[in-house]
Amino acid sequence: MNVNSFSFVVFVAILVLVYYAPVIRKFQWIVLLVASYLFYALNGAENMAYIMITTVVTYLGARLLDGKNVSQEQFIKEQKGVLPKQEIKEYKEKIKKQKYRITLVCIVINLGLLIFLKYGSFLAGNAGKLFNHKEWSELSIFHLAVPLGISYYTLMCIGYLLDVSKGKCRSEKNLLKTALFVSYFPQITQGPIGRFPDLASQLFGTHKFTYENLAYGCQKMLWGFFKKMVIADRMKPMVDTIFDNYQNYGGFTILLGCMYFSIQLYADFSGYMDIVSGCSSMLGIRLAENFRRPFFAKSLDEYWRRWHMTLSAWFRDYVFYPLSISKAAVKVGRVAKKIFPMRISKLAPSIFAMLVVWFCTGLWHDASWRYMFWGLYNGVIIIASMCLKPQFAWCKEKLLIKEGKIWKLFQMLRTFVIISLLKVFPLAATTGDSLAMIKKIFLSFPTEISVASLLPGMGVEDLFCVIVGLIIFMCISLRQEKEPMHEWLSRRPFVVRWGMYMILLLFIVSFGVFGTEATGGFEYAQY
Amino acid sequence: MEQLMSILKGLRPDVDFEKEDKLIDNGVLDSFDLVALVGEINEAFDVEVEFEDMEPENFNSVKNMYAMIEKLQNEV
Repeated sequence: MNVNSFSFVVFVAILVLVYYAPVIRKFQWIVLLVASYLFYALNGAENMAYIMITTVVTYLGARLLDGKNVSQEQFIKEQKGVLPKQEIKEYKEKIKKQKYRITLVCIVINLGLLIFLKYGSFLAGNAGKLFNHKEWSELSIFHLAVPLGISYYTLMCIGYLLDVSKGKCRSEKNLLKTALFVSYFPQITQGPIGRFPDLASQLFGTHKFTYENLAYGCQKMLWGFFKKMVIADRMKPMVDTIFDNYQNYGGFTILLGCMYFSIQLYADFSGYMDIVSGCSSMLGIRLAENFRRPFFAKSLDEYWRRWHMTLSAWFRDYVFYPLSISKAAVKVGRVAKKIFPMRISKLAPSIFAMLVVWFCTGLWHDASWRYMFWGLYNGVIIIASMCLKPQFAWCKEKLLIKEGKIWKLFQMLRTFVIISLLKVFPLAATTGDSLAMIKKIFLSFPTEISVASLLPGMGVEDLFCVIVGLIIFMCISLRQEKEPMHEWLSRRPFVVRWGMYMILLLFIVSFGVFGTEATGGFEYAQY
Repeated sequence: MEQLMSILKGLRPDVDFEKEDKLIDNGVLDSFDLVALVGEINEAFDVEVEFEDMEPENFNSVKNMYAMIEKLQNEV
């Protein structure tokens, strides 16, 4: 069941009615759990065992870790001033080691499931090539269907375990409540990657029906449907035409295709986020923000702080930061100090952690070499911009460039071109195709420019819808940079507000692409 | 204190750490200096400086850094 389908709207409508029924109030979280498992089962019941295993492992791990934290706290409380400090320190060290082992076992099981199901075929294929056993990649055990949302809920569970281990939050005592946290249906397919401390009280508490929540939820869903069905799905045929037949197009068309795909992907992914976030808001549960108008970013680094924010934040908090201050990073810094000037060597621990983070981010998206290249390419650009900062400042000064609107616009366009160029990796079917596209972009110059080379596969109706849709999208995004849209709308008179909703609804009904089989669902669901 | 000063001098020999008391507020140390510094402090003093500890007031001067390290060492 796709979230842009009629069945999903009916599913949500029934859920809202049941959820707010007076007799249900105390059991709202159970209704959410049933709805989440039903949603999961409707999207592939055969894979439910995997999410259940991850839930049980996470639950047991978190309970054990919490137990260790409580024991330590009690011990210190009782023994403070009685035992010498050294002994208490030794006890803390012992508990720390035990917690480390528990966390490691849970992460290995959860991550192991993800690696086996998502990366098994890739690893078996490469190992087979290496050891001359090409038949390894054919083994059916490596071709099991990847369970819905496994990349997302695995990260959520690991984050939760690490938070409990560090004592940042208490563990959940109820297994079924843990199951709800792991499987909450609005975020199971494509995120956002929620954190337990932010979600627990919302998921397990009771919520009264409010008009504000319903109105806010409907607004967000409507806006999400508009982005997905009017912009993303109208652009998809053009993007597919270019990249399914890239051999027939020149470098300029491929570059344009990358830019079109950037817009399509943003409308698709952020549209999905708005739909599920709106649905969750109706239930009184606010999901974490996942996008903050990324095309207004002035650098690749800033872009990643605005795009898929919960994934970037997860890697920052659980991988980048611990790794950048680890012993390995300190060693890298010391080696760098002997080789490079101070300005570069001080960046070494961060660069080391950043390369690992970007490699993992690439791998998280897909088990393929092209995604690893994609991840490392992102990392290398960000690292280069860090290292070359003084040179850029020098160039800017020599070229008499002043800070201002034009310069900012140039920076935004530059970032947009960079992120669009990076799209050759997810767009291509193979790594070889990605490299062939890059070659074409830089070496195959257009001899003539025609409508067919600028907008291949785009009908007049599609073009009209996309242009009008993008103008509306841009206007609303500019307004959102200043304040949340719902706040701006709430100050408008009733007639204006409802007039806008009706126009948006009419636009979706008249020009939206209906039928998920026609569009192939959401782009990010594959990850 | 000497050990901390030696780490700081190794990291940024161009800074007069004895006089400077607004290392973060005045932008003398940036986020990359901080990351490198925290790694060195964790290893040298056997403490765990957390992300939450990376506040400007803890790193504005050598005195403040040392106070934070002592606090972490004495935490039981």
